[in-house]
Amino acid sequence: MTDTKIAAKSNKLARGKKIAKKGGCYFFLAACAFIVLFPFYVAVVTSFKFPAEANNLDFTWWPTEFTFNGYKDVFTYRGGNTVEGPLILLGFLNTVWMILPRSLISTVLAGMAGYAYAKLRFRAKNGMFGFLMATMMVPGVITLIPSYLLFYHLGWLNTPLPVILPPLLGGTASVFFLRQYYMGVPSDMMDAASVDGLGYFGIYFRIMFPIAMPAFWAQFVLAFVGGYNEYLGPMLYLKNASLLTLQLALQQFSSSRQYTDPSAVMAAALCALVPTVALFIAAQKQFISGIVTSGLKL
Amino acid sequence: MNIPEKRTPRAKRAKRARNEEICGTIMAFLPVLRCILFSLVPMALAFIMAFYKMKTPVSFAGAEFVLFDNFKAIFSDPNFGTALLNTLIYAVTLPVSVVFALLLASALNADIKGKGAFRVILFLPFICSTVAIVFIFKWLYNTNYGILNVLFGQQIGWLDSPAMFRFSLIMMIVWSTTGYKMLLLSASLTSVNTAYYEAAEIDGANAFQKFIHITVPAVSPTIFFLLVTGLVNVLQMFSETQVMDATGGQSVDYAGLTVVFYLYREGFNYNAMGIASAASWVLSLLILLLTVFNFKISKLWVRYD
Repeated sequence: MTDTKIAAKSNKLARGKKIAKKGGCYFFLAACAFIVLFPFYVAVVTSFKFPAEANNLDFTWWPTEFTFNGYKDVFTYRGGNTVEGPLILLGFLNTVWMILPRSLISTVLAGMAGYAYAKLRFRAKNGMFGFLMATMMVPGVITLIPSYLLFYHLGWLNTPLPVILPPLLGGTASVFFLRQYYMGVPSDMMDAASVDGLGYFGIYFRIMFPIAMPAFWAQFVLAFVGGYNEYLGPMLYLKNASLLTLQLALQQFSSSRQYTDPSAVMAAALCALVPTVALFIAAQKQFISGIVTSGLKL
Repeated sequence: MNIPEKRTPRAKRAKRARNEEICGTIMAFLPVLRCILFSLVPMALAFIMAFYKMKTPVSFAGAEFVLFDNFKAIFSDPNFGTALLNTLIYAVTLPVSVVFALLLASALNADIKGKGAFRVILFLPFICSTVAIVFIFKWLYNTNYGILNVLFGQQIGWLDSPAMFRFSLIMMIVWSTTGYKMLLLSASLTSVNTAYYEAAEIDGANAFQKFIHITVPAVSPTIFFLLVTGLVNVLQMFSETQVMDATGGQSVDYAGLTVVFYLYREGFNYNAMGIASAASWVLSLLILLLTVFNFKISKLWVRYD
């Protein structure tokens, strides 16, 4: 009798503990999710306010009067007539045509190298891989100053080339991650393909590339988002207003409005975030699983 | 008659091996070529430039060999000292975000609903551009109309004193860098054997003990990875403070001046490319030193079993 009572009691206690623990987890996660989302909420609300309401000592949690003036400003701003057409849109288009092909090509080439390092036999393999891993530790800052001089002598300054070309041949981190991915792929598939008379490039493009799609998605999204958000490089190398990338255009627009019109600044920031956030949400499953499967076998 | 039949497969195999050698080398060489052209060559150039006083930022014409003068100039420049100090202060964001990420990852590991949604929301800041984030935070921090002061009912100058400027920037960086770390940690946590936790529970371990003795050791390789890669990033901080205040926080004793910001100003505002190169070498050596240290002490706490 007493034994079962005690057991029931401790069971109850354990269950209570479990519920408390679960509740604690929910609370902590919800609090952090709130902290993450809150700045976006404030930005969204502010972007629909008139400047007079935004620049008011009484904060309103919802615009008393909606306006799209901020957004109109974003899509009509010409940067003091330095460019034809709206600057932010131009910056977005520049970013897309400079970064999108670059990210695609660099991811495909990184995967090719990853495949070679994981599956093929050649003499310089270990040496080259060691070299790559060593350069991964070289901080980017050290190349910043001399690259400017280098690009000047190559005639690349004020052309999109310094933004497009250097990352094109495959990012080291992507090579490493995709190599890890291919290490886990059985070699029989490759052997069967080689019996069918496919060459090594054929094996990569016909078989190895398609089967590693989730890992590629992750590396591509990472490369694209990284390029889309680049700031220092484009700022140094693209002085010509017609070549400005989105981040530079956003910086210019926001700096010119920040003391007068916070609504327009928030509208611009949100517009700049929409493409990457949309891409992330659309691809989040592949993205997260890709990071998890390729990014973690260290 | 017999010989060609026997030789053909062997010749074929040899051809195949040669093919593999050539194709493999080509495929593997492309990223290596990239590293040579855009990492190694500039690095060597930076080394040479660090010993020269350059007349123009883009060529060695008229450059003067000055041996260690650039390094002497850096270490006697109080601004460099400030930049170094600031850089180390902003590096606090690394351990802080790792701790938050670890807590979030273990909360996500519990048997709860909505994991996917939490993961997506918490990861969101990582994909947002620094420029956009900084402008949004500047608005939150606004002394007169910012939401933070509305909530606190006070007129706190979030960016108006050196200490507050640093604190506000640190909060922003932790906000934006925790999500990625959480994702990697939560992935590595799912592979932890639940039997360990059950055994610990039977032994009467509390939540904190389980966290320290099971969770942390189990994900220690991932923590180590995050610390090594994060250190390289955080010590090269630039855009966050440059967008926040293009002067490097002139009005708050240069609280926003990091080492990269310092060498950017030296190189591109004052055309002192030699000094900038020297500073980039000093920072790189510091990063190397701390990374080696990181690897050395990792033997004490990282477990690969």
